[in-house]
Amino acid sequence: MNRFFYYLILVNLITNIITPVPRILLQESKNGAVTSLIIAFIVGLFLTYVVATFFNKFPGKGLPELLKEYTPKWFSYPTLFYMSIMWYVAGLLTLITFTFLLLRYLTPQMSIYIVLTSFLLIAAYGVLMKTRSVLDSTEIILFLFIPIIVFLLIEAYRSPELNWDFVKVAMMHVNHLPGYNAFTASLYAFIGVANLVIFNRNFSMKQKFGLKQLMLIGATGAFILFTTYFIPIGFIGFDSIKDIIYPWISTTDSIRMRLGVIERVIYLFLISFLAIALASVIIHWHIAVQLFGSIIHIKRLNWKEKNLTHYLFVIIFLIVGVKLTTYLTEYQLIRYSIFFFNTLPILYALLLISMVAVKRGAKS
Amino acid sequence: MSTLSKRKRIFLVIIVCITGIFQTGCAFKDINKRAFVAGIGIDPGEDDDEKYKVTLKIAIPIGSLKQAKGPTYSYLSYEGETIGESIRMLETHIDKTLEFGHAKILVINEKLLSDDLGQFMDYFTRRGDLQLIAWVAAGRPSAEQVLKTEPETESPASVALFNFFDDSGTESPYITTTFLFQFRRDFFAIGLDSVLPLVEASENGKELIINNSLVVKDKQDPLELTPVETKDYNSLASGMVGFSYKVKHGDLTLLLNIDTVKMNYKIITEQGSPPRVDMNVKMIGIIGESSTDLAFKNLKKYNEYASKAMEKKVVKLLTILQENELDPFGFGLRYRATRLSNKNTISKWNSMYPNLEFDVTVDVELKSTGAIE
Repeated sequence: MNRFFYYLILVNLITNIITPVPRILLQESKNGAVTSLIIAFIVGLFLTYVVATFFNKFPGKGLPELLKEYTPKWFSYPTLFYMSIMWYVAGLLTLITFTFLLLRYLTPQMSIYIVLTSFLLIAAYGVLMKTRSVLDSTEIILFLFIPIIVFLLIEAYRSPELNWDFVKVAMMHVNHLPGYNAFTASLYAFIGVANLVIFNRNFSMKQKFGLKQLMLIGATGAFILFTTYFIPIGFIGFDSIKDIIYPWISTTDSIRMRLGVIERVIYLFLISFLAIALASVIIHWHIAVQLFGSIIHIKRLNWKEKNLTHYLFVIIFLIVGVKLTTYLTEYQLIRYSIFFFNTLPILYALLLISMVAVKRGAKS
Repeated sequence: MSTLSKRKRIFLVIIVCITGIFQTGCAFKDINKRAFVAGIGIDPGEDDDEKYKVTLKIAIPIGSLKQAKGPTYSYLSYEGETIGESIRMLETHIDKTLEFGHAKILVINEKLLSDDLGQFMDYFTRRGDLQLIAWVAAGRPSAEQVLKTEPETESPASVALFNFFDDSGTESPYITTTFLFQFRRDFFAIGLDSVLPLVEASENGKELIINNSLVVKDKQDPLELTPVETKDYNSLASGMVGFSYKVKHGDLTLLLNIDTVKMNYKIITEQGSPPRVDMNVKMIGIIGESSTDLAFKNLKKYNEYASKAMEKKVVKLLTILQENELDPFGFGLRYRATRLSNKNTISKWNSMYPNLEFDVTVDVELKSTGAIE
C-alpha cells in the first residue's frame, strides 16, 4: 500500500494512548479487559482488511462520491451526515483530552482559553489545507516524532522499575468475559483505516494489499495495544491503577532518564504526543469538513470565486470546541467518551452497509 | 516562499506575531519569582491539635557557583491538620511562588509510617506537578532534622541527600532506593510490601547515614531491617552489589566482593507436599579480604563455604520477613501472576504464606582471590 495509508493507521494507533482509551480499559482490568483487547484486535484487523480492499477497488474515489453515484439520496445523505458528526467528535475528544492534559501537567497556571486558542489556530489552518497537504504534514510530524516515541518506549521497556509481575497478574485475568466498553474503546485504536473515506481520493493508483501488509499492521497494532494497556500496569501497579485518571501520564512520569538531558521523561512525552494529537485532530476534522461539504454546499457563500462553505464549517467547529472544552468536567469527558466509543460499531456497520450498497450499485 | 501568494504571506506573518505574544516564558511567572523546593519533610505535629508538621527545603538562587561559599538553603516549617493545608499556609510565609516540580526527595518521619499512609500519599500523587520519580525515605530522629543536615561534603547548589539515591554519587548495596511511584504501587499492591530506606541524621547535624531500611505495610508497625539484612534484600531484589559479603568458616573469615547477583524463584504448590519457594541465587565475584593466607587452587572450596554461608543468611532473612507477615520480595504477587485469577486467589495465598517453606540454593562463583594469594 501507499505509505500514507500506513500513516493514517499509525497516527490513530498512537493517539489512542492519549485519549481516554487507556483509562477505560484499565477500569475494566479486573473484569474482562484482556479478552476485550484480544477480540478488538481481531475485529479491528478484519475491518482494516475489508475497508482497505474495498477502497482499493475504487482508486481515487472517496466515499461521498461513491455513495452519491451508486445509492439513493435518502440513504447517502443521512449516512454521510452521521459519519461527519462522528469524525468531528473523534477529533474533539482528542482535542479536549489533550487540553486538559496540558493544563494539568504542563502549564497549570495558564488560562484554558489560551491553551485552546493556540491549539485550535493551528488545527484550523491544518484542516483547511488540501487533502494532499494534510497527508504531507502528517508525514513530517511522524518523521520528526516517531524516533522520540520509539526512544520513550524503549526507555519504558528497559526500565528496571517496570515490574513484570504486575503485568502477569493482569494477564491472568484473561478468564473473564469481555466487556462492551473495553471492547469498543480498544476498537478505537483500529479506526484509522476508516479515514480512507476521504483520503482514498488521493490514492489514485491501484494498491497491493495482501497478507504481508496486513501482518505489518497487525504486528504494529498488537504491539501498541499491548503497550497501551500493560505498561501502565507495570509501573502503577495492578491493584491501584483504577484511581489514576491519566494512566499514561503517570506512567511516563515514572520513567527516569538517569543520564538524560532532562531527567523527567514526561515532558518529552507531552510534547511529542502533542504533535501526534494535532495531526490526529487535523486528519479527523479534515474528514469531517469534507464530509459535511459533500452534503451541504451553500452557493451564496461565494467570495472572489471561492466558496466559503468549508470556512463556515471550521468556524462552527471551533466555536463548539471552545464551548465544550470549557464546559466539560473530566468526569463528563470520560463518560461521553465511553458513549462515543460505544457507538463506534454503528459507524462500522454503516460503513460496511454502504460498501455493500456501492458494490451492488457498481455491478448493475 | 515565492510560491506563496501575498495574502498567505501576510497571514503567516500575523500568525507568527500572535504566537509571540503567548510566549511569556515560565507560564506567566518569571524564574526569579519562584522558590524551588528541593525536598519535603513530614513529621507528626508537635502541637497536639495538629497532625502533621511539614518542612520544606528551599533552594536559594545564587549568582554563580564561585561566589557561593557553602550550600544555600532555607527551611520553612508549618504545622497543620493536613499536608496540603500546611503547604498552602507556607505559601504565605514566603514572597515567591513555591515550585514543587524539582522536589526530588520526600522524607517521612518513621513514626508516621504506622499510621494510615493512604490518606497521606493522596496529596503527593494527586497534585500533578510533584514528580513521581521523587525518592521516598523514612527519617530518624525526624524528617526536619534529616532535611536540615548539611554534610560538609555537600557542594554548593547540590543536595547531598540526592547523591545517595541517584546512582551517580555513592553506590552501595546498603542503600535502598524507592521512588514515589514505586512506593505507592507496592503499598497498595496485594502480595507485595514496600521497602523504604531509613535516613538517620547524626546529632551534630553534619552527617547522614543510610544503611537500614523499613518494610512498610498499611496500619502496621514497620519492620526495621538491619544493615546486613538490608544489603541482602537489595542484592537479591534489585541485584545491587558491592564489597561486603562476609563469610565465616572455622577461623577463616572472607569478605567477598560480588559484582553480579542473579535471583530467580518459583512458587511450587503440589498436592501432598507443603507449598514452597524454590529460590536460586547466582553470585559472581572475587575475594576482597581474608583473615588468613589463601591458596589459589582452593577457590572451589571457598565457593562452597561462601554458598553455604549465603544460603543460611538468605533463609534467615526470608524467615524473619515471613514471621512478620511481610513480603517485600513479592512472593504473593508472583503467586497471583502465575495462576489464573479467581475470587479465592488472594485469601488462599494469605493462608499459605505463613506456612511457606523456603528452598534456597546459592551458587557463589569466585573468580579470583584478589591481587594476592
